[in-house]
Amino acid sequence: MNTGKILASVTILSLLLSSMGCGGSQSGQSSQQTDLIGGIGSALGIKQQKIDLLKKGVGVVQAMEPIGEVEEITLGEAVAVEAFSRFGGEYSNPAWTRYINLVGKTVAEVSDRPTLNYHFAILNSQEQNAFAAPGGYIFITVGLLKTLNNEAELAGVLAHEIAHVTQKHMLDAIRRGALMGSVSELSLTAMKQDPAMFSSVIDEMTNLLFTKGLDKDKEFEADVVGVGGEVDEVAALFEGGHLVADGFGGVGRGFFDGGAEFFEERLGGFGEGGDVVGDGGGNCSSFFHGAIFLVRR
Amino acid sequence: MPDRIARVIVGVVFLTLAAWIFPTTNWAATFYAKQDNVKVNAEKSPTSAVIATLALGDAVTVLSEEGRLAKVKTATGKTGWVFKFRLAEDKPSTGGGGLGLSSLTGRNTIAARESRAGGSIRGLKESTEQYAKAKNIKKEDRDAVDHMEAFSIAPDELMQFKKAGNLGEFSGGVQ
Repeated sequence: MNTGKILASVTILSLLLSSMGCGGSQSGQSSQQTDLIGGIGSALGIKQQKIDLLKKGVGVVQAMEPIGEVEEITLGEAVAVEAFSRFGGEYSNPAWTRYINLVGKTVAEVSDRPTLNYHFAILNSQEQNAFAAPGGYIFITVGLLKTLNNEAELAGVLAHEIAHVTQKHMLDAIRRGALMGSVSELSLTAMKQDPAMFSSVIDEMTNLLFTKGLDKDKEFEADVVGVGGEVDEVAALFEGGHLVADGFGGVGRGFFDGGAEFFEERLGGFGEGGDVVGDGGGNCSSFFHGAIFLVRR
Repeated sequence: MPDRIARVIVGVVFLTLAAWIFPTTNWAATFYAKQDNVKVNAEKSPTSAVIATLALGDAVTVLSEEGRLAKVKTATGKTGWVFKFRLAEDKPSTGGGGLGLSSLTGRNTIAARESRAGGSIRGLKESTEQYAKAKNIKKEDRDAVDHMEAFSIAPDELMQFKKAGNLGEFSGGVQ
C-alpha cells in the first residue's frame, strides 16, 4: 500500500476521532494528532513537505470547530494587555472601577452568556472609546466615561461591548483567518508551544479591534443583541415610547432626567456632561438595553 | 352598513379592553435556566420566599408571563416566579463543544484565574507573559490585566446594588 495513502488514512482517522470527541483533552488532542501524523509520516519515510501539508490540513479542519472557552479567555487576556499598552494604561480609581464592574455585571447577568466571568476596566485615555476582547474583557476609556450623563448610558455602552463577546464576533473573524491559512491551530497547547503563531493571532485581533474595526454588520448585531431584540418592551418602559419614536438621535436628552441625579450621587460625577455618547451610526441604540434594566422609577 | 361599522368598532373596543384588563400571556413552554442559582420566588416579588433554586440547564415549564417575570413550574412540581431574563428557550450548552478544555469540565464556567497555567491565583497565563515579553509591554500594563482579573464583586454586594437601584430582577416585574 502506498505510504502516502496510509498517512492520509491515519489523518482521516485522527480527525474522525477528534470529531467524535474521543480521547482526552481536546485542546491537547489537536497537537497530539499533528505529532502522530508527523511520527508516522517520518517512520514511513514520507517527505516532510507532504507531512507539513497534512498537518496544515488538520489545523484548518480543526479551525472550523468553535473555539473553546479556555482558548477564548487565553486570547482575550493577551488582547487585554495590548489594550492597556495602547490606551494609556490603567485608570486607577478604585471607586469608579467598582462602579463600572457593578453596572457591567448587572448587564452581563442578563446576557446570552451569563456564566462567563466578565472583567471591566477603565483605560487612561481621553479618546472616547470602548472595546471588548474575547473572554469577557471589557474596556471603557476615561474620556468616554466623562461624557456619559447617567447610569443607563453607561449600561448601554457596556451592553454593546458585552454583546460582541456573547456573539463571539472577534473569534469569528479569527476563525475566518484560520480558514484562510494564516493560523495553523488554535488549541491551548499550540498557543503555548508556538509563540510566533500566538503573536500573529493577537496581532490580527488587535489590528481588527483597535485599527480596522469590526464589520458594520457585527456592530449592528451588537446593537440588536444589546437591545435584546425586544424593542416593544423597551418602548413600553419609556412611558409612551418617545425614546424609540424619536430615533437614535434623541437618545439621552430629556429621557434620563432624574436618573442623572442618582448617577452623580454614586460617582460624585464624572465631570461635566457632554454630548450623547455615540456617533449616531451604531452605538446609540445599544443604550436601550441598559435602559431596560437600569430604568429607575 | 353603518351597523357593520358599529360592530367593528365595538369589537375593537372590546379587544382593547380585554388586552388591558388581562395583560398576562397564558401559554406553556419549556425554558431552561441560563445560569446556576436561579431563584424561583413564591410571589412576584424578588424578596419573597425562595421555593426552589435552578441550576444551569434545569428545565421549567413557563405557565405565563407578566412583565419581566415568568410564572414557572419546576421539575419537582413547584410553582413560582422567575425573572424571565434568567431563562432561555434553548437548553444552554453544559458540555463545551469547542476545541478547549471546557469540554472536559462539564460546564463553561471556568473563571479566568482558575484556568491559568500552573494554577496560581495571581499572575497572567504563560502565553500572555510570553507575548508581553516579546512585545516589550510594560509591567504596569501586564499588572493592570492582573488587577482586572483579580477584581471581584461579592454576590451580596451585587444584589444590594441591584436592589438599591431597582435593577435587574428588582426593576419591577409587572408592567
